[in-house]
Amino acid sequence: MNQHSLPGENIEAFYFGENEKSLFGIYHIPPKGVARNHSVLLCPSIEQEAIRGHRAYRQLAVRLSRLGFPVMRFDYWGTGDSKGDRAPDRLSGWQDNISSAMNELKSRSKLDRICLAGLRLGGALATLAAGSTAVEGIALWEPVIKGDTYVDVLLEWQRDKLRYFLADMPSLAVDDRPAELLGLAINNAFLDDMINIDLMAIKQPPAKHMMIVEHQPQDEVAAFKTHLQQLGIDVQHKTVDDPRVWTDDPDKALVPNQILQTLVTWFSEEYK
Amino acid sequence: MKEEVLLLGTNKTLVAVVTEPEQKPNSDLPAVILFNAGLTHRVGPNRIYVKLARQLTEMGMIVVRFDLSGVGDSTVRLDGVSFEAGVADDARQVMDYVSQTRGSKHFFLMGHCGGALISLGIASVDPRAIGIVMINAEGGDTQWSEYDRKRKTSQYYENYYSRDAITSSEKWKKLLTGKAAYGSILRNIFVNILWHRVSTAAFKLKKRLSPDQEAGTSPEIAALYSTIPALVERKVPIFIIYSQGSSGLERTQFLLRDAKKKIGSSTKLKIEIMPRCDHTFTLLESQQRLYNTIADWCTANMPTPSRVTAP
Repeated sequence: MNQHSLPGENIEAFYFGENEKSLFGIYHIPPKGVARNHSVLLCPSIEQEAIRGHRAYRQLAVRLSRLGFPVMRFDYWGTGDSKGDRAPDRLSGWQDNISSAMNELKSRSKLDRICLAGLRLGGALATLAAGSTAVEGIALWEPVIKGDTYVDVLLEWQRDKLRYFLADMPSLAVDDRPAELLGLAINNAFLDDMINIDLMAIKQPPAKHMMIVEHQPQDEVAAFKTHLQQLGIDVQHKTVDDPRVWTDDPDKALVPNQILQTLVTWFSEEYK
Repeated sequence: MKEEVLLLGTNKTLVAVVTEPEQKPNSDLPAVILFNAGLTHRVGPNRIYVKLARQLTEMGMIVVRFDLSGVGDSTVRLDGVSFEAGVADDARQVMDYVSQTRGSKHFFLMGHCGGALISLGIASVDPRAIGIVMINAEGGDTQWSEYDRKRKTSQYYENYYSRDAITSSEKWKKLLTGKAAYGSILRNIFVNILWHRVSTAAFKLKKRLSPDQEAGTSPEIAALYSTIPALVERKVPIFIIYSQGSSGLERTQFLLRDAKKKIGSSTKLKIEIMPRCDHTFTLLESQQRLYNTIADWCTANMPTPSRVTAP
């Protein structure tokens, strides 16, 4: 069985879903005697952000599971260890992946009550996916609120990498319809879906309780918090200036301890 | 092609993904082991390990991507062994598993950046390794890392000003209307471009004039490269791949000065420089060229019964 159990760390690693659509998952089993009534699904960001944020996600999962939460991490189709070598045809493919992962987590944890957490695009996808299914709480870590800005950030990041490494750099003319984003092959419809992400447009509460953690105060986040409150959601909001691990060199091995602690504290106090 | 996730090692703490053909693979073919690129988990930078594994599996090979202890999803070792001994033991356990369950007798060891150096180190002590692919081997060396940082910073600002800013009407407008950050621009031009260029040129000159091959290189890195002649004598083909302009290539060429005298013109050691590729092969076109290059090398270096001796 693909399971190991070390002090404070008990995991199962597996693929779930149908063959060519199967997704990679890791389930963190809480120690006996500290069980909670909610499980937590960690929704990753994508590609560079997911790779660089991997260490922090693992730490977050371990810390939550030690407190009794069954926790699952997974990779979207076309990312990480999951099947697929490109983005899905539509962004909704990744929202469907979140729903599949939620079912997998419910099945493994035997708990119906589920919470989501997501960094950057993972936060946006969690919020959008939660609109169509019952979710108790969502924690957003520096969430992407507007997709057009986010795509610009990724493209500038790609240009920055090339500037840094290439002496014979090709022309950096800005491509309005890029076919790739930081190593991820995308098509036009997917790109449009990414650009059209707008969390300010959601009209139904995605969860009863939400937590937003950002690194520096941003007007966009403040407006989003107000929007969520107008939808009747209990929203907590913290600013914690920790390393932005999703952009940092992974070899620095930074763990944003204060951010993780903020998230863990919120989950453990909200879902006793 | 099928993929399976496994927990390997004595305590099942090493998280590994095995990619293999649907049909029972030919156990005469070497299996491929991919070692972590620094602290990046087993998918590799820009996910190149996943895609490389899938392409090599199409050639009939088994490929294992795994996290060394303390990296990615594998937990840290609790037995107090040194980093080097731990890495060697992790690698041995993974190769043992593949041998026992898939019948593979030989291995091609591959890695990017720090993983390239690990591949070399493991191959030098494990006779089951019959080929090594080192992709952009860098790091582990303070002086060279600092040289690398200065060279790339200089390159970054040169690219930025000479290709981007110069064609941006918005930036020209700021410059001409007193709204630009002039101090920052001057610092970038005089320190980050010009001074770093002078500094890196001086470093290269010092290295070239140094009679001592290992001067300024960490003893661990120098010791690793010193194993290459023995590997070539063992008839282990070594494929060293570098993105064009990589300072890792400069270090490797520097460290191979003496080794090349011993090796002579052996075809076992091949160095390939790939143009228009960044360190982590960000652009998809550069990734595909990398996979094809490695696949071609694998084809050319597949063992024949007469060439391989039992370990």
